[in-house]
Amino acid sequence: MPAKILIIEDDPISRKVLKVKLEKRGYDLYMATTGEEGLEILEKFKIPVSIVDWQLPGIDGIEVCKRIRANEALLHTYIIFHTSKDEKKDLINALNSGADDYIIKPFDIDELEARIKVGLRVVGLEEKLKIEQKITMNYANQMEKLARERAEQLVHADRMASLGILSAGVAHEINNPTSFISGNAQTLERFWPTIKTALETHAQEEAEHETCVFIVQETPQILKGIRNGAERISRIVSGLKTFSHQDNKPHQEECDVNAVVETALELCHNALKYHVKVDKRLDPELPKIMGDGQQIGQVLVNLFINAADAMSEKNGQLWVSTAREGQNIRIMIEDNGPGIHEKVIKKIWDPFFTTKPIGKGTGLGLSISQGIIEAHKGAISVTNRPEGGASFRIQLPVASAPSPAGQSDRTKTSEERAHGQ
Amino acid sequence: MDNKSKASLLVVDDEVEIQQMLSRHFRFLGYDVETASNGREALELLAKRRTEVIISDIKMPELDGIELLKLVKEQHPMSHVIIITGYVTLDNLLAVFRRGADTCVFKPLNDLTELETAVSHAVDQLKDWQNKLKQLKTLKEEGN
Repeated sequence: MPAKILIIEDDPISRKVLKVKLEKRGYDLYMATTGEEGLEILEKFKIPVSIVDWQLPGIDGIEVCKRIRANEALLHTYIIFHTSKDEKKDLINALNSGADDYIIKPFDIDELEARIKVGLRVVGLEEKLKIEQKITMNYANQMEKLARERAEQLVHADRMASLGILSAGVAHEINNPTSFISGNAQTLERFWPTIKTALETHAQEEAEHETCVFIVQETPQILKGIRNGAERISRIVSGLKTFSHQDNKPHQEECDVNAVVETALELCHNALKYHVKVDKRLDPELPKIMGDGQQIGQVLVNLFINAADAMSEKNGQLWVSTAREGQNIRIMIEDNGPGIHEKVIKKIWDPFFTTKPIGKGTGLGLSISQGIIEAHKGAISVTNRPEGGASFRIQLPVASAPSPAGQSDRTKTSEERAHGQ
Repeated sequence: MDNKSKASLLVVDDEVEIQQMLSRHFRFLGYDVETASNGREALELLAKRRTEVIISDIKMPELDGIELLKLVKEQHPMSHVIIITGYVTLDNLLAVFRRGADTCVFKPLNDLTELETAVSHAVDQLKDWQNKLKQLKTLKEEGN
C-alpha cells in the first residue's frame, strides 16, 4: 500500500510540482490549500507524513503545527516544514512549534524523499510501540483479572476452611449456652401453670389486676420467644457442624444419581406442590458415579428448596435434568423465579450469605453444597437464565474402576478429635 | 410432681448454668439431684451416696464423661448413665454405647422430655430389678 502524504500549500505551482514528483515516486497524495483544510483532512484520514508550507492564507504553518501537536489523535503525524525562510531563528521557531523536520525551497526531490522516508520510519516505529504498549496493557489487565479471581478464590477457600475449623470448636461452645437458655425456658414453662393460677388468684383481689392479666397473657409468648430463639441458634449450629464434618471424605459407593434426584424431589414435595410445576428429564442411560448419595441428595434438596422459596408467589416452573457429558455427569436445576442479582451472584457461595428473610435461612446451604460437590471432585456453578430465573449446574465424575475408598490423612483429625472430648 | 419418689440423680457438667438448669428441672419433677463439675467430683459424690441415674456431659476437665462412664460401670454397676453432649461424632457415640451408657441425648436439649423419658426409663428399670431382687430374697428365706 502506498504511503499517504498530505501537502498543505497555497501556491498552485509549488503544489502541482510536489504532487507530480511525489506521485511519480509512488506516494498517495492528499492536497490542501489552507491550514484549516489540511487539519480537516488529517482528522479524517490516517496520514503519517505532512508537508506544510510556512506562509498560508488564514492560519500559518506554525499555527498548523501547534494545532496538530495539541490534538491527541494526531500525535503521530510527522511534520516536514516546507519554507523559503532559512534564517536559523525561523527554523528553530518551526521546530519549537512542533515540526519534526524542514526543507528549504527550492527543494530537491531526492532530499525530500529521503526526509519523507525518515518520517515514515519514525511514525512506523511509534506505531509499533503503540501496538506493543497495547498488548502489554492487555496482558497486564489480564494478569490483574486473573490475580483478582485467584485472590477471591483464596479468600473464599480460607473462609470455608476457617469456618470448618472454627465450627468444630464453636458449635460445641454455642451448644452449652443454648442448652441452658432452652432448658431454663422449658422448666419455666412447667412452672407456668402454678404461677398462672397464683397470678389469677392475686388478680381478683388486688389493685394490680391489670398488670396481672397482662402478665398472664404475655408470659407464654415470652417463653415461646426464648425457645424459638434457642431453636434458631441450634439450626445454625447444626449447619456449622456439617462444615466441620466436611473433613471426612464422603462415602464412596456406587450411586445412581437419577434415584438421588427422585428421592430429593420426593423430600421436597411439600415445599413444591402448591406453586411449582416440576419438569423432569432424567437420562435413563446415565452412568453411575462413586460418592455419597445422601450428601448429594442434601445438595439437591437445598437447591430445590431455594428454588421453591424464590418462586414463592408466581406460577413456578422447575426443570431438573441429568445427562452424560464426556467423563462427567451433569445435573441441571433451573427455575423461572427472579434469578440471582448480578451483584450477589459471586457471594452466594459464602458462608452466612443469604437473601432470605432473617430467621428463614442460615446462609450455609450453598456453601455446604459447594463443599460436598468439591469433595466429590465435581463442580457446581450458577448462571441466570436469559429468560429469567436461576440455572444451577452440577458436574460429577463418572465412576471409573473402583479405587480404595477415602484413606486420607484427613480422617486422622476426626479420630484425634473424638478422643478426649 | 409425679410419683418418682425421690430417685437420686447426679448431674455432671462443667458448665454451672447447665448443672443448675438440669438440677432445678429434675428437682421440680420430684427427683433428688446432686451436681458435679467433672468426672472426678462425680466419683467422689458417688462414693458417698447411692445414685440411680447419672446425667453426664462428655467434654470436661480432669475426668471426661467417657472415662467417668467406664469407672462408674466398674465401681457402681447398678447406676445408669445418660450422656448429654453437643459434640456428636460417630467415635464419641460408639464409645458411649460400647461402655454401657443407657442413651445419649444431644445438646442443646431443645426438648427436655427426651431426657426426662430416658431418666424415668432408667429409674423404672432399676425398680424392676429391685422388685426381682426382693422376690429372690423371699425365695431364699422360704428355702431356708
